[in-house]
Amino acid sequence: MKGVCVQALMKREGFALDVHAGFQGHGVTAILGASGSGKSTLLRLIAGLEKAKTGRIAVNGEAWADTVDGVHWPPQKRSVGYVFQDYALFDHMSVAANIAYGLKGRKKHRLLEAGRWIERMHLSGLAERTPDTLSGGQRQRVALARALAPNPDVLLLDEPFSAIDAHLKTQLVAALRDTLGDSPRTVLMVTHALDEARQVADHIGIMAGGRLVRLGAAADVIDDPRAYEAAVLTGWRNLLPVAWVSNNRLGGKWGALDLDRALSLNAAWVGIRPERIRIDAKPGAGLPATIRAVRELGPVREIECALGDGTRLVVHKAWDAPLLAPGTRVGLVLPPEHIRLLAQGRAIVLGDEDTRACAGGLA
Amino acid sequence: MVAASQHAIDMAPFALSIQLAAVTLVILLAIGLPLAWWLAMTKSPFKPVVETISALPLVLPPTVLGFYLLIFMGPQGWAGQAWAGVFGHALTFTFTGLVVASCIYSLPFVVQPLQGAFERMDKRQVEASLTLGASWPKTFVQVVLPQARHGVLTACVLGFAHTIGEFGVVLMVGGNIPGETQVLSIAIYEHVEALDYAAAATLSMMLVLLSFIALLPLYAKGRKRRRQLREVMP
Repeated sequence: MKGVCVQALMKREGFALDVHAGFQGHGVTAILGASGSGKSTLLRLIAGLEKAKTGRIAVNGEAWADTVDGVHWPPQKRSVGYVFQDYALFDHMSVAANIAYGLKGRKKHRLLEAGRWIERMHLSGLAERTPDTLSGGQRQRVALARALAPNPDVLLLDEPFSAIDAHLKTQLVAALRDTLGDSPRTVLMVTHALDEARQVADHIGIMAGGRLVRLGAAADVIDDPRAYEAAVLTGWRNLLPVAWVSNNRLGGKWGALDLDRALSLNAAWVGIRPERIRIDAKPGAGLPATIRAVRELGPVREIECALGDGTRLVVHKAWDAPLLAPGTRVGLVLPPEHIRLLAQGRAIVLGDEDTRACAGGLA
Repeated sequence: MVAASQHAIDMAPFALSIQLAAVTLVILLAIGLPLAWWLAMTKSPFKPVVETISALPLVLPPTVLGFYLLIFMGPQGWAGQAWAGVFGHALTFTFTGLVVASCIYSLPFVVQPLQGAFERMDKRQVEASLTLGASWPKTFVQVVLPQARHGVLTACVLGFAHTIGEFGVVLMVGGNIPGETQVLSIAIYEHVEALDYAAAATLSMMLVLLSFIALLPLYAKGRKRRRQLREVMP
């Protein structure tokens, strides 16, 4: 398989990383996760900066690490470009020397190649400057150029926007997308921000508690997170715990729902996006609820409703939809086609084809 | 006032001190750089033990250290016997013996600034260098040493100046053989014993000047750095 196959277990000071996944050899995969979920450790594992206790890491079919065969390539031997969170630029070197650092060949050739990257990354005029005199955006572009110049098989980006001011971020995210758009390599970008992932990535992987709980095309992961942790990270605000399942009906203290398909016993939660819920003025239709608060969010009106047991559901309507006053009793209709079943952890996830292909190759 | 010396002052101790300090510093850098790197990076349970041993010369009286070195390096000591077995002569009361003793005595003055510099440096830059395909030697020379340059300078200055100024260990291990082990501090002591205060004052002033010149780059560098910082700060 072209891409990166990771099957690794690593334990360290109360933290365990257990990842089985295949990342595609083209396009950008965003690894989304909360702090401490193990997403940066995954990158360090692929780069060879950390060592797995057991497992195998293969890139484009070649084993970079395999604990069974005793293979462990050092970082120097792995074809990796790594953009660190704080960029880790060499402060005592010029911009040109930073970019030329990983290039092979004669000095003249290396500086010429660095010059091309300086032009490509819109850094003209800054070649002789040292990194400490550059802005955050310029430093990011130098780090990206330095990592890409040696033409690595894998590009790893560890929170590349964490040191960027919010007002510059949108512009830089678009620029990064343009730079990496047709990249013929595996690109993994670690982030904790869904908006960055959506703008840059073709694929999204969700890390939680040291595990990759969901991996797939960006649109699929956002539309059907399959795991509770993935739903939380992809902005699913309405999550109801499932207490019982009977045929195609499930429920909890909050009420019960009929679904249009067979149910998985693993379903621990049901989720529905705020814009998918319909409000019926007749309390008898759907789940009985009381409107608690109405908030105007620009083009969207957010209506917070409380179910019978006090569970809150958020509904989004257009700003010009009929206004409902707090205290009004209504029925909330949750269309079965928009309801998603969610597992706790990765019990019913990992249907991704690349992961399967990778697992086949690893077996 | 100190009376003029009755004899022409012998400059050999001055040259010997410089030679001893220079040779010692080269050897200490060769030992100290890898040792300090290991101490800065290791998670080994033996780290505190190694740190304590390397710091012992800081607290031990020079005569105690000199006494043990005299025993170990003397004709009855295991190090002395091993040396004599290979080279055919004793290690004590020779210039080589002085170099060995000075290396042990000045070790913490070189290792500790280096260790501190390695611990403070940005380890991400080292990792960045490795992921860019650079070998360890290239990484050490082009990334580690430039970052640790102030620590290296401090180690060189302290290692050199401390060796120049040592007395007790030198006297115990090297004795007072003109041209072989009679370094500046020993020569001053001898002049004082002979009541030749003028010669002692001249040599003392030379030692003061030498130490001043050795230390000056350290503080001049610090001043320049502070000035550079002021220039870039708003």
